[in-house]
Amino acid sequence: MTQLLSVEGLSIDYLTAAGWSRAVSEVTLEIAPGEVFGLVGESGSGKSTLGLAALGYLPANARASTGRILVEGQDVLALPRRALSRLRGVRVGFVPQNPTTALNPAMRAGVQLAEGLRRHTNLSSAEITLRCLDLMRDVGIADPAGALRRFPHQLSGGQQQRLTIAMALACRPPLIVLDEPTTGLDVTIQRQIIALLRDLRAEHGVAMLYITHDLPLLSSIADRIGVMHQGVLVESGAARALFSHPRMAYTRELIAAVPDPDASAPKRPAAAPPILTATDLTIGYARRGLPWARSPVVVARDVSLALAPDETLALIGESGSGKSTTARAICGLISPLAGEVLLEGRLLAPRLRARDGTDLRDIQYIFQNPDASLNPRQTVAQVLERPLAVFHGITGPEARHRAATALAEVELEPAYLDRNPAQLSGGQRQRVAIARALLAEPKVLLCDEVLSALDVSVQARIIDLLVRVRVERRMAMLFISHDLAVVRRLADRVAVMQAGRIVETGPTETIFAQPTHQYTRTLLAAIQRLGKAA
Amino acid sequence: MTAIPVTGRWQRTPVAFRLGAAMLAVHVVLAVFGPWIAPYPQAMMMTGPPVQGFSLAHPFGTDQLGRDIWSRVLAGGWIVITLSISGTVIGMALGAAIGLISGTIGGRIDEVLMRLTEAVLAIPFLIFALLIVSLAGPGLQGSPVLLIGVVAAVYLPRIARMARAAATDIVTRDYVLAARLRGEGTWSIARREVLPNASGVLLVEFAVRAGYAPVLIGTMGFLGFGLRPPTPEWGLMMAEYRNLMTAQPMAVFGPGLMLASLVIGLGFFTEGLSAMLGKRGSLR
Repeated sequence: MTQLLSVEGLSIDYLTAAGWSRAVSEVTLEIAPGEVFGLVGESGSGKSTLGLAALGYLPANARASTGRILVEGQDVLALPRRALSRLRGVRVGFVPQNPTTALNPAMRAGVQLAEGLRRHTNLSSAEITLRCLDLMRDVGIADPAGALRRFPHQLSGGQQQRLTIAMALACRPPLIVLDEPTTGLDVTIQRQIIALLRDLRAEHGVAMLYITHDLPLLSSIADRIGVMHQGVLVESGAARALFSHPRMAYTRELIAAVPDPDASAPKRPAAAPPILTATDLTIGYARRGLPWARSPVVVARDVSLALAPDETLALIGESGSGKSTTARAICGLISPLAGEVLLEGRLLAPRLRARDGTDLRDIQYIFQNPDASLNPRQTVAQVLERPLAVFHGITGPEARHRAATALAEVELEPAYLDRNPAQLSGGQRQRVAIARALLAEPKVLLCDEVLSALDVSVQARIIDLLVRVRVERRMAMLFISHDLAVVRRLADRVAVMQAGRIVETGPTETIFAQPTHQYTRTLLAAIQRLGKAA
Repeated sequence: MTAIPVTGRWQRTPVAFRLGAAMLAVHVVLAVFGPWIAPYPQAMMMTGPPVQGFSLAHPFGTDQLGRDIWSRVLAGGWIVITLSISGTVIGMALGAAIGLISGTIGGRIDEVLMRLTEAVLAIPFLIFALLIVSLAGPGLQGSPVLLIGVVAAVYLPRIARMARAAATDIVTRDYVLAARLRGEGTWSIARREVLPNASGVLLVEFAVRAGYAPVLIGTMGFLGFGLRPPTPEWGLMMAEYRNLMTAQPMAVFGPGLMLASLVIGLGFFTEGLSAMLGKRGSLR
């Protein structure tokens, strides 16, 4: 047997209220030693279930109804517990999606990294320490000895993910399973992690099962790609061939759903006086500490923006560059240390409490993650009727009628009014959050990374929706994103933020065609272009 | 997870929950129907020979006055349960309101309120309870109203801290920020956004506190600061009968057994409840 991993006609069912429902349906695939296999599909397509099964793991309410999954010829779903534990540590490594929840916050990085080695090898503790230092160097952490002593929260997001990769590699397994390893990271760090994975594979010849919903990302790392849709492996083949000649309709749909970095929004001259201006905003958070050592941490400095009515301004930059902080200062969630915000020439109070109903109504903020911005204990009707009551004094049947109309505007059935957020999909929840903002009848819409929690195919539809309602209602929109392809498609102008300052502003076309600032160039170079395979 | 078939609902609950619920059901039935089940009126003297141990006519024996202890225990059930529940309900309502509002406001008001509750918590609860009783004056001493007040006062700061902890977590969520952006006031945010999401924690907290309330009432009765004889409250009965301990141990063990099984039943119930809430985050 030459295959490292072979999945033979595997089906996995989950026990739900309605009985057994199929999550993975008769999937067959093989991974050779040293090969990188990319598994792509929307959330809920069964790709993570399949990936975890390769580790011999099935959730308690799942069963493998047909087929088997072999790692080096061993049927992993039939292994006894003890052999499974060796398999997971030694033969198959695992890199989870979210390092912040996967790492133990109370253990130093070094202790966590050494855990697998201590359990599965006979190395002495001195040898283990040396191996840990090597591993940290392998995954590109600059100060290995220092990093080993730190706790996870003292490492950056990128470093945390490097640490989980080092943990997966610790016992030199021939195969690692990566479940969306770069999803929560921003573009530049994403690119570094991908480069690291390519190096590791060249150096150690480790095979990978790389699970993601990000198709363009796969083009730069995978040898072969499998596309999953509703539990079925609809297509698989060499990465290049799949991109150039997708055979299945669903694969074509997935490729088409990825925003083309070259597509751009129709431009029009923006000559009207700005509806919203922010002048020299300096924003910081109070640091906790003894009274005499308490100086604020400044997150954004001297930020100035102007937003014309009926215009979309995109604010781009890495995470931590101060984009969200700026938006939050504009809407009043954070009081800036200095600077002022004017709406239609009125000076807005820095403190939220001091703003009146009109100020609050005119600027609406849409949060990144609709899971967090909708109260899980309220129905959609309760969520939507609240802004009507607060801003327009509308309650009762009239409010319900208006809420239904707003749902129609975001392309949802009125039947959703009586559901809870938990009964909606991610895209539907974000539509409800958008409807809530629209019901206030704002003049300015602040969209804070509103797409990043959603699947690619859903993102495209939400962009269309945002563009349509913005044009119909002639609102101004501040669109915060790290996804430059999206920004190019819908923004009239772009402002680039780096380390709390706006480094460059200009019309979208100019910024993309002739970026003047060095940082903008780096950011643009980091976009993963479809078809630009490794 | 939301649509669990009705048929399997009971079978899916944790064993502790089922056991606890069964024990509580027995106690509630005994408390409600006690007077009809009881073989004798609870205050009737000379139902049989005094200070007699187990017999078929007197399962828990009789006391010095020949009263049937089983009948007295049955009569005491509803007193213990009613006082415990009403004390806990009042403590819960005030404590949760203070805690949720304190956590929602945050800042200096929160600091002051929490330092105040800590100051109260620094006093051992029994001493705090006795302090309230002695402050209440002789007019109120021995009245059930005072006892309800004592239970509520002992629980208030503890529940307030728990509610405040839940609220400080919830107010960082985006939906609370969204409410602040609408300009909603503290009271509205605490009631609409925070309370529904804290209800799981508060429910468990209520069950935990209600489970300990009978012990508190019993202790007060035993120490002579609770209800007055001849009320058949279990703690008080144990105090009254402690000199019969050697001659007729059932006189003490009978009420003790009832108190213990009520508290254990509530304990199981709470443990099962929190396991269920922990798994789903809510009861729905």
